[in-house]
Amino acid sequence: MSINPEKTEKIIRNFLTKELSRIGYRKGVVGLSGGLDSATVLFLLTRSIGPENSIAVIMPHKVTSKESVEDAKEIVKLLGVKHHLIDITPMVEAYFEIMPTENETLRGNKMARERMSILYDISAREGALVIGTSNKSELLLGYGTIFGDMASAINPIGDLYKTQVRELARYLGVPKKILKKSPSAELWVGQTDEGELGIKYEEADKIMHELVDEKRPESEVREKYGKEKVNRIIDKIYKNHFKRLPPQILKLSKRTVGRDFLYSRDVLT
Amino acid sequence: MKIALAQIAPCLGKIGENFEKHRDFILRAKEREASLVIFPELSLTGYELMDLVPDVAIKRDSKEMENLKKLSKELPFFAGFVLEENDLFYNVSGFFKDGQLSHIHRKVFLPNYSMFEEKRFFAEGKGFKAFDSDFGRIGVLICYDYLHPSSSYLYFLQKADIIIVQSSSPTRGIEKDGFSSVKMWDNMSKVVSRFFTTYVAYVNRVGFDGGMGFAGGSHAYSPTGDKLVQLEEFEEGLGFFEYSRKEVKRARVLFPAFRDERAELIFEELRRILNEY
Repeated sequence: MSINPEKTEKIIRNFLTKELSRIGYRKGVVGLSGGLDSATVLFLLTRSIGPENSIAVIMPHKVTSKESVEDAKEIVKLLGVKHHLIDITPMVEAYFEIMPTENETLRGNKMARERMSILYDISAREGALVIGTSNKSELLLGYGTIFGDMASAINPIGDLYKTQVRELARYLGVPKKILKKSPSAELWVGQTDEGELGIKYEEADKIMHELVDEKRPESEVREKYGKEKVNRIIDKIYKNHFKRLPPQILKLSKRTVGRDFLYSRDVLT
Repeated sequence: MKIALAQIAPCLGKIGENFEKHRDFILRAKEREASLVIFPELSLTGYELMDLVPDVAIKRDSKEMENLKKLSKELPFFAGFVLEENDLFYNVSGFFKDGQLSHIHRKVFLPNYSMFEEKRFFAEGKGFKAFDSDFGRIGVLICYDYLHPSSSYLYFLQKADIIIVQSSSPTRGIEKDGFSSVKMWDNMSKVVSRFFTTYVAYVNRVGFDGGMGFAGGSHAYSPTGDKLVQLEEFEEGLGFFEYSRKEVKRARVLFPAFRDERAELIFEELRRILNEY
């Protein structure tokens, strides 16, 4: 499942350039966390439409590590892009004063949606498309917040597994420090993807590649990687399928949006 | 005789804009003294049409058809579009020459798997008929037609000098050494040209429809199976190769596949196999 990074970069750069010329939004805006995925997307974006058209938004919360903010700032400096640094603690905590909870998932979802809301605000202010940074591993496992970090206008890395994103990032020259980081949503202190998922991306990606891309029978994959592990992944894939789809619309008319009113996303643009 | 491969990125559903692009590429090919220009599949409409199919369809007496015919006074060309006939819609290749529409191939194999849904929107073509032209005998295939080697075999039996393939192939299967879809077309052309001793001219589009990228990678092979031209991936461009009927003959002297073919035996075997189907 190793990729050709040169050709991958080329098709993504073409894609970003083309999509950013279709609808009058000529800039792109990326939520930059200091992690691998958003750094990779910002590298690709600046190389496609130039740093002058790329906007990075760094949105720490008080649980975000200083290191992440420093890393994000370093990337911004390295690429020479415009950035906004917006602390989301006041907005998020104002809400939780009214609706208190200690539930980490609820708190994390709120943060993810606060960031989404800021990105879409900047999108409209500056005429910039929100560029998604969810990778294929997250999308399949449902490891993301619906209408939060999963929201975007276009996503250039959504068909690359985490390990493939890392391969691409290495080729693009993303700093070593970021390549080596343990993937984390940083929605609470000490959270790591692999800790929460209970499996290393390297292995999960291999399993998903066999199940999804190669469409090998589940039984075969179970035998190869172990029943418990594979079942857990399959369970996550199906249980989170709703997150990957637009809302379900009850069919009443003869031609229904999303069902049999069928046009390409790029129709007449 | 110089043949041009026009690797373009059509705009989805915008026939007017795409027509202008055809004119531009034809004039550029003319400047370079080409005698024929080949555009990709659905070059006038873009690929991911879905419910737009009836809206962009062209009839034999449409204004757009007249414009295409007129344009062929500059140079003969193959273009891809949606043809409406008897209230049916076909994914077709039209050969325009000297102000006339002189041949139509209706796509026979409509892919309906993976990201493809062509059978939902198009009617199927019914045959593979080679035809004679100033460029020798031509057989036309549209994209998935070509992935069934039996289609090329039928043109081989009709002694086609050149097989023209028009494609809108979504790029897929990223691997260590590139995209598997790009390699697939190239492998097919290498085999078809070499073993059916014909020229192959394969033209694939570039650009994006709804998140599907098209890699281009248009190419031509000689009747001895050698690559004559290869266009760059992902970029619009115009490529050229020299066509000579003499090369077809030379290939068939070197490798007498046609002479040694047992079409009747194949026919009998097909009959037997179909009876047992």
